[in-house]
Amino acid sequence: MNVEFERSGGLMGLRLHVIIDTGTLPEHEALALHDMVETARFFDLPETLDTPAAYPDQFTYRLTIDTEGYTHTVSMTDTAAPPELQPLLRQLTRMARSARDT
Amino acid sequence: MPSHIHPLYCIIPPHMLMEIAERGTPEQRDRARENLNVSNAFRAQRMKQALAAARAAMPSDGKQRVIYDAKTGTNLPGHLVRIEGDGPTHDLAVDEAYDGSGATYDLYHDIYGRNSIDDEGLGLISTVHYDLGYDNAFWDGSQMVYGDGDEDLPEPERLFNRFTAAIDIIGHELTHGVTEHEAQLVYANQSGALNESMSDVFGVLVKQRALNQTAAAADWIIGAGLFSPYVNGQGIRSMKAPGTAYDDPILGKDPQPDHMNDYKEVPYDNGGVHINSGIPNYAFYVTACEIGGFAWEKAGRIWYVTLRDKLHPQSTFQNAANLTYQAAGELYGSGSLEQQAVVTGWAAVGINAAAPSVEPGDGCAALLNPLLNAVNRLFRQSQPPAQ
Repeated sequence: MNVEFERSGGLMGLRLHVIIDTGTLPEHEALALHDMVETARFFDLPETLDTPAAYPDQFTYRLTIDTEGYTHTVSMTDTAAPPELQPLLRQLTRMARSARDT
Repeated sequence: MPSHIHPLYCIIPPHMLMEIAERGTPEQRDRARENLNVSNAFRAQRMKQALAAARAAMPSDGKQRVIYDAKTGTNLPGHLVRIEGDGPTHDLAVDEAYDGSGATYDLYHDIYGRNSIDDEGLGLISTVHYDLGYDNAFWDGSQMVYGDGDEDLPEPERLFNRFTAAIDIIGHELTHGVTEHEAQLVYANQSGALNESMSDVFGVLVKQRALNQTAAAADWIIGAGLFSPYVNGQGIRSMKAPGTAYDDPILGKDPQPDHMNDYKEVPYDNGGVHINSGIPNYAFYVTACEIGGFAWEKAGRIWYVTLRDKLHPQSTFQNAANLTYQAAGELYGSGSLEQQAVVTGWAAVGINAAAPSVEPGDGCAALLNPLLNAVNRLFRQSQPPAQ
């Protein structure tokens, strides 16, 4: 599974970006990511999840996941992201921080 | 207004809902009925919240602060924890939100004669402890929301403290509310960067006033105290030296420019609204230092009048320069030292404030917008208080 994650905006305007190939991760980490993607029903989400108004200082996320021949991209503001997706966004934020490959 | 985001029960007490259910427009009636049908289990808490919030929403001459605790959840506004006049709770975030929104109210009220965000005494609503590991704060169109930083991560991985820790951030968020009620600067590209800059300007003035600091003595750092000790940085932005606030292995380097030559066109952050705000931020800093003394008195007044009466949703940096020049002339006289300081401020970022103004789109906008703003203000003042 390939994951491309971008978080931008926020009060600080900091852009975080990371590309992860779960095949290169330790097994438990890869499994945890797969579980989070499944729990969030990521492939059932619409391509855009927006709050009705552009809230100043909110985060904006763009997440692309590519697995078993399927690719799906979801763009969203943080308050529009469903609760089931939040743990995945948090984990990817953490991984993007430690990678800093932007 | 995002009433569809926050159902009526958040701000209106049941007796008012019943009135609306009888007398409102069909849409208002439906929503009021829907909200009257809330389950008994939540009614007591909602009654308590609704009463406090309704009190806060009433026009008044004084501060009406309401603080909620989201208890690491994401439901807004959360549980009511402190209202105007209550003593400290000893929860740091709650008390900082209370004190910071009070200091912001005071700057706008005491210095610029403004009665809260809408100039009609709107209650100042804050929610703290929003979500878990939420390293951010934002304005959602009707209230402020603050996370606790990286409290969910192991100590050495933490980059941020709670977001109420910096008083200028509280002023920053509330100013987004003021901008939404006045110039309504579109949150993208140059108008978005101006929107961000206005929030930094009045946020930093709240702090300088609280510390009784002159322009020369202040550090002009936005968000001092937000970073954990593991970050190499003074704060999230520097108005005095944009681009130098932090330089850290994890966060990278502060990307803010301080001159039009370095304006950054980027495909994220709504066109870099938090990046290019460095340019008008620096123009304000230079203007304030040129004038000297307390920055909120003259430089702040010029910027406030510009935000309230002159800017419009599509304004560019060039428009802001022209309009602050115009405001300074009206407030302090044509050719005054204050107006010269505005010219010097914008010149420092490569913009000629005294150049003839070119408005985007229809040239009539320059005449029409101040007129419309004035009519709106008169209209609002002539409205009787909400029943």
